[in-house]
Parts: sequence; C-alpha cells; structure tokens
Amino acid sequence: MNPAGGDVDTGAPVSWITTKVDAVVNWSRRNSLWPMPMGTACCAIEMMASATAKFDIARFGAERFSFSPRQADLMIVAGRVSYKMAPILRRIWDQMPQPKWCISMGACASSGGMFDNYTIVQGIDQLVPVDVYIPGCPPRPESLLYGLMMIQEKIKGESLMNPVHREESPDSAGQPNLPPEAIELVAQPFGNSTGQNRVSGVEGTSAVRRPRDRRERLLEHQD
Amino acid sequence: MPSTLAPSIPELVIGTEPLIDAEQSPSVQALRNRFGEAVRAVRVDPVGTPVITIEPARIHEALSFLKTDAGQSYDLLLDVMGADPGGDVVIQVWYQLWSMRHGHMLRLLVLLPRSDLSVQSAVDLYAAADWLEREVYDMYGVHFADHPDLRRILMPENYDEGFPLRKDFPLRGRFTRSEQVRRALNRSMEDVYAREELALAGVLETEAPEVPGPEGGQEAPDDLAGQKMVINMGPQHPATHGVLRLVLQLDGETVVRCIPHIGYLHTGIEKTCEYREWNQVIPYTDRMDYLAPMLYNVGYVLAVESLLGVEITPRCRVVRVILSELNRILGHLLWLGTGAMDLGATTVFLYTFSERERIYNLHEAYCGGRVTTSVTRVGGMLADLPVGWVEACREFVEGLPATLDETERLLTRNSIWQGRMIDVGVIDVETALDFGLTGPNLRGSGVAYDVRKARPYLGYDEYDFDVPVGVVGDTYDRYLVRLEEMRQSVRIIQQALDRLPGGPINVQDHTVILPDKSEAMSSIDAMISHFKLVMEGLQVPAGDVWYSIEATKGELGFGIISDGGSKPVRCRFRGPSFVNLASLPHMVEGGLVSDVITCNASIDIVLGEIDR
Amino acid sequence: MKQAYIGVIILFVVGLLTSGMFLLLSHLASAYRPSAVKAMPYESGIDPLGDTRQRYSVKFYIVAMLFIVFDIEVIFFLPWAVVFRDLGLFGLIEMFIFIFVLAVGLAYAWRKGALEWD
Repeated sequence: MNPAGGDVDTGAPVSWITTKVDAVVNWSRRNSLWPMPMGTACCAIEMMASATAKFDIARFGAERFSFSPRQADLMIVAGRVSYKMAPILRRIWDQMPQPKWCISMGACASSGGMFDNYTIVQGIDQLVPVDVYIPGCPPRPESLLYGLMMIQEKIKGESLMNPVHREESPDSAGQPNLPPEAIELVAQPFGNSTGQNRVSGVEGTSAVRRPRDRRERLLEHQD
Repeated sequence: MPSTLAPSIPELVIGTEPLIDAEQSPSVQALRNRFGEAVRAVRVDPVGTPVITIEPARIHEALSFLKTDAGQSYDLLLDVMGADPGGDVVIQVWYQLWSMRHGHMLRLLVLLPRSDLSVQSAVDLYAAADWLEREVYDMYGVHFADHPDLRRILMPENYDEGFPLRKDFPLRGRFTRSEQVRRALNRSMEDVYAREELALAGVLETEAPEVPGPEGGQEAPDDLAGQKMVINMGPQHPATHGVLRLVLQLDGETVVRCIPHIGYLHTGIEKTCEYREWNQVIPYTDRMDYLAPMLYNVGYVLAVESLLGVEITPRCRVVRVILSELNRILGHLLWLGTGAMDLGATTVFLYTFSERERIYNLHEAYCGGRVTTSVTRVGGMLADLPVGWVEACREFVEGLPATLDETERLLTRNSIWQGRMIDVGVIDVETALDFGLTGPNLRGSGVAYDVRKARPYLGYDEYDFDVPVGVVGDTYDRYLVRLEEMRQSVRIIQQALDRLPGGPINVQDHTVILPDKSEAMSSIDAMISHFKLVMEGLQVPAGDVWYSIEATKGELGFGIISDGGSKPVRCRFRGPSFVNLASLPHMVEGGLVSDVITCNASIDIVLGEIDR
Repeated sequence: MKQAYIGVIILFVVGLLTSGMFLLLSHLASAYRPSAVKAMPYESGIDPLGDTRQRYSVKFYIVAMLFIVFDIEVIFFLPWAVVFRDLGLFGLIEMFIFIFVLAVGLAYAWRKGALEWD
C-alpha cells in the first residue's frame, strides 16, 4: 500500500477507510450474488441441479434465481447460444444494472463447444464481457459452484475507488463485445473442427478424400 | 375429415407385421389401382415400411385418399422431412404416415427437381404438417403451395444466408463470423415479429383482415373494454421450459391469440451430423433431449443397426431396455418437478430432483457422465455394466414408488392442483391426431398408442406392462398418465433386471464394433478389424430408414439415409416435442394467461429436440 | 397514554433512519451507468411491440380494489390479536360485527361474479 495515499496502478485514493469500506461492500456483494440464469440447454439442467438439495447453491447466498435482469447480479449463460438468441442475450445483459458479472458455463457458451457451424455463436465473449469460464459438457454442479467461488474471489479484489470493473458506456448497448477482427480470430476452427469433411455428396474439402464414393449406388437404390 | 365409414380406433393400438414384399401392402395395391402411373416406385425399407415414390403433382391427392378412405385411414402424420442426397439431382420429401385404426405404417416419397422445388401443402389434411412443412422450407427451400403461413421456423425470420441443410450450403454458413454476429445484433422489428403479430399490434400500415386468429380484433369498440395487448413471453422466461418464445395477444387476462416462435436453440445438429461418422453422431443425440439422453442414444443406434441388418446380443437388448426405462423415469421426474414448480409447488421440485440425482449416480457409475451419456455404440454399448450396478439399480427402483406416493399425496387430491389442471388445455382425440400428437399427450386424450406395444423393439413384447390412458384429454389426465407411466417403467425395469442374461454385450462382428482391447492386441484378425474401424469408420450399407421408438415425450423418429459410406447422408431427428408444441395455441387460446403456463408444462417440451 | 406513543415515535424514527441509511449507502456504493436500452421495459429480451400506455381491462381494477379492502381488513385483525385478552368479550363481539359487515361485502362480490375473471 502506498503510504502517500494512492493506488500504484491507477492513482485512485487508497486509505485505511476505503479498504475497510471496500471490504464491507465486497463482502456483501459476493455473499448475495443473485444469479440470472440464462439457461438454454443441457447446462441449464446442471444449473438447476446446483440449486437443489444435494449441491445447494443457496449456501453461497445465490438462492434467489432472478429471471428478471433488473434484480440480478450474476448472469450465468448455461448452454449453447444461437445467432437467433444472441440479441436477446445482449439485451438482457444491457438491462442488468451495475454491478454485474457474467459466468460462461459450459463448452458451448465459452467457445461454441462441439457445434462449430452456421448457427451457434462461437463463444459468448463475442457478445458480452465474461468474468469466469467454466469448462465442461456439461460441467458438474460442483464446477458451477467453483466458478461461483471464483467470481467471489474476483469481487474481493474490486474497489469502489477504482471503477474499472464497472465500466459500461451507453453506446455499448446492443453492440458486440469484441471488434470484428477479434471475432474472426477467436471463432476460427480449432481442434476437431478443422477436420470436418464429408465422404459423400458434393461438398469439396481440403482434407484427403476417402476412397469409394458410393453416391451412385444410393441413386440407383432409390429408383 | 375422416369418412363416416372409418372404423374406430382400437382399445390398444397394435401394428401389423412388418412387410418383406411391398406389393403385399393393401395400401400399395390401392394406390397403384387409383394412381397408376403416378406411382413411380415401390419398395420396402429395412423395418418393413412400404416406401412409395409418387409424382409430386399427385401427392396431395394421394395423401387425401390415404387419409379419408376407410380401408386406409392414415390418420396420423408422423413426419414430413426433406433430404438432399447431393449432386444437384433432386431434393426428396418424405411423408411418414401411420394408421391408428389399422396399424399400418407407410412412407410417401416425392423427388423434386431443383428447378421446381414446390409441392402442394398438406396442411388442410393434417394440422401437423404446418410446422413440419415450415421446417422443410426453412432447411431446403421447398415451397409448399397453399400453406397458410410459410415462413422460416428455426432460422431467424429474415435469414438470408440460404437454406442450411442443402449440400451446397457450407457447414459454417456463407458469411464470416463477424458478419454473422453483426447481423444477429442488428435485427429490426420485421426480423423479430411475424407479419401477423405486427398486424395484431396495429403497427402495420394496413388493417389486419387476413389474420387467422379466432376474432382478429375486429369487434366493435366497446367503451368499457380494454385494448388488446401484444406481449412476449420468453425466450428468456422461467416457465417456458427453455428458450421458447410465445407472442400472446391478451384481452385482460384472456389469451386471444398465441403464436409460438422456436429456433432460439437451433444448433444445426442435423447438418453437423452429416459431417460425423456414425458413432460420432451419438454425442449429438445426447444434446437434443438432454433430460432423457439415453433414449436418443438407443433409438439412433437401433435405426443404424436396422440399416446394417445386425442383431444385437440378448444382454445388450435387456441392458438397453433398463437404461431406456430409467431415462423415461428421469424425463418424467423432471417434467413433474418443473411442472409442479411452475404451478407453485416447489417442494415437489426438490423431491423429484433428489430422485434424479440417484439416477444420475447410476448414469455416472456406468458411463462417467451424468447428463450427456453417449452410452450406446452401433452394435452394442460402450461397455458392460460395472460390478454392483444391477444391485444399485434395483435399490433405486425399489425406493422410487415411495417418493411417487409422497408426491401424489401432495398433488393429486390437492384442490389447488386440481383446480388449475382439470378441464384446462382439453384436446379431444380427433384434434390430437390432427396435430400429430404422440406420447402421453395423445394417451391423455384416450388413444392407447405406445410404440413399445404397437411396433415392439428391444423385446418389449416380452415384458408385462400397461399403457395408461386418460379420458378427457386435459392437463390433469396427462399428469396422471405420466405418473402411472413411471410406475409401469419401474415394473419393466424390475422384470428386466430379473431376466438380465449373461454373455457379451457387443455383437461379435468386428466389422461393426470394436473388439475388446485384449483381443485386438493378441489376434491379428481383431487387430485388422480394429484398424479398419478406426481409420475408415463403420461403413453402413446404402439405404434409408425411418425408425421410431417411444421416447418420454412421444414418438421419436430417426430418418437416416446412408450411401454406403462412413458418414450419414441425412440424419433427421423427429423430436416429438416439435410436433406436440404446435398444439399449444389450440389449447390456450380463449384461456387465461396462467393456463398458458399449465398447458405448456403439460405438453412436456424440451427445446433441444424442438430446435435441434 | 403518552408513554405508549413514545414507542411508536421511536419505531417511526428508527424505521426512517434505517431505510434512509440503506438508500444512502446504496447510492454511494453504486455504479450508476444509465443507458437508453437499460431503461427500456423488460420483455424477455425482445423489443416490446406496441405502446405501454394502452387502456387495459377494467377487471384488473376490480381485482385490485377487492384486494385492498380485504387486505386492510386483515391488517385490522393484527392489532386485535395482540390485545385480544384485554378487550374481552366486548371486543370479540365488536370485531365479529366488523367481520360480518365485510363478509356481507364478500358474499355480494362472490355472487356478482367479481371473483371470476370472465
């Protein structure tokens, strides 16, 4: 701590009283995170399971799942997001008042998952700023709880004097979170997606063609 | 309308024996007599369904004849699907029909040249054709003449990248990712609302004369009446069971018009599966009905095995029955928990989810995954049951009836529960068949049609179980039917556990399924088979099949086309919820907003299989 | 008599101070980032269609009115429950007259169909 009274990185005023106030405010915020479950698919079922008696998200203060964004702190995007759903997601995020955090739960929300195709957004961080990514397909409820604890750790490091985490310009409403070049970069195929090729039909690919295209046999079989 | 000579639906719908020769089918003979040259080709598919290729111009006449003629009575339209075998030749449209009264299955096939992708719509014959044809239009661009509302259903309204399931449409779409994101976030009102909805809200310049709603808002202005309000329920909503959007026109609390919008979870699974090997499709089947994933796993491999012509081992058959019924209980428990929670009974949610956790323990012990299981392989299973699994399963099914009894004590005689469910969302038999309902929705209306009894698979005819049937067809009946189905599933599991035979779990044919590792490492033949299967993939003989099983939500159909290669040409998943959901407007229009929640819960939808 | 009112005044003042403190602290600690989209009415993420200032059905008004009346009735029961013993038989009969008057009103509303939506 800088005895001259300022944060080394940002120059924001730091003193005993501000750290204590921050401690109280952050403690209350992280122990009463009200999730907004943006649950679309299979991950939503594990999210619901984390709210049940066996895993009990309520002990983290996140008992009240608020489907209205106005009363929610934490948006948990659980499941794959299609391009049709993308404006909804962005609008709901915009309508959440500060302070707000976002968890991207599951492989599909984090990167598009096993669906590298025409209809699934390849990672919701193209749309909304994400704080914690939880891998898994679907992640177990314990993983979601661990992700929640990571958000709580993140909140511990916040400060009222330094509003860097709370930046939100009014012009950003309805806009993607990443610029187009960054979207192209993160949405590139990787891993198994690069090997998607067809055997039959007319889709030409750069991969090695398999022998014996049997389309003719199908056509003569049809008639 | 069926003719007055139509025979009545039997007490328990049993199908006729599968055919070997298509010419034996009375429907084929009747069609040949009536249509002569328009019947281009006749054959039988691997499960014994006659497949009749008909000239596109005569399809409507043929469907009409098949529906109304007393000897045919094909009263249930199971599926309308498109297929693109590639090569710029034709696009196929399949019509899968079932006769509830006679127990016959039939498929009509039309081959549409690319230059003229249009065919007459069947909506005036079957209301189920409404959404099914919209999907074929959306995915293939086939134009259905005289369809009342032919617009996109799964893709966004003004999607202009093309028709996704065509073979010339690239898997990742035509635009760059940043362009797709930009378009997604910049949608206008016309992109989001259908013309009918804009007209109902009075936003369109023209008046709304041609809206197909019940009143269309054309009454004389009443001094005390309020204006009708058009609101969105969903897609982000706690009670729509997923990302379903209902546009409701309300007069106070009364729903005047309900227009469902789906496609918010469209994942392009059918397109992606065309790029995957036969066994690589199985994880995709988990993600459709994620509430009861093993049913999809089992159904898909049964369909592929029928194309392969391979007979699974007796042990595998019984294990698949056990897992299917466990998943039926899993799906119904979720329906019960979330349905009760929607109506306010949160305790039931916690009880049912505790039971589901026990089933998830069984899932995890068997395959390592709770929700996405991928347990089957073509020709067998991923592995044999672990030691102790049978005892754990037995313990679970012995404990389940007690929880069901406790839940019934809370709900069944509860005056609030009865008051909210009795005579709400009533659907009568003819309307149910018209909408193509299957599963507990149809059985709640009084038709004892269960694929496990009508066209038994996996040896279901050897098990002793009943098919519960409702009387009135309201939500309360559907609730009772599903509760009873869970108890019947317990019966089946107990019988299956008792008769579980020993022996190998996978077929011993190593051109179909991988041999045991120990064998592959010691025997040269097994090693060669292993190598070929891994490097080339399973090769399924050319052919096509439409195979269906009884899933939790209704009749789950798989339309598979193979060209002899290692990847499917077409992998169609007829999710029962897709067809069932189309009946929601019929159920809720004229009722209250709270009844929308009840009816939606009682149909038991899962958006994963609706949107795929 | 005055001593009883001291308690009420203290309750009132403490209530004001506590709620005022909550509002003040929230205002100081908050990150207020208004935007046009944030202020739009929430309709499940979709742009709302039509005007919010529409005339709505008068039945909502009737339901609200009935609710207010019977809610206030219940509020009157609460202090009565506290001083039940002190009021004795006289209080019991008087409250029963009160309940009877309101029950007649309820019966009238019931018969007139005000409790049914249609």
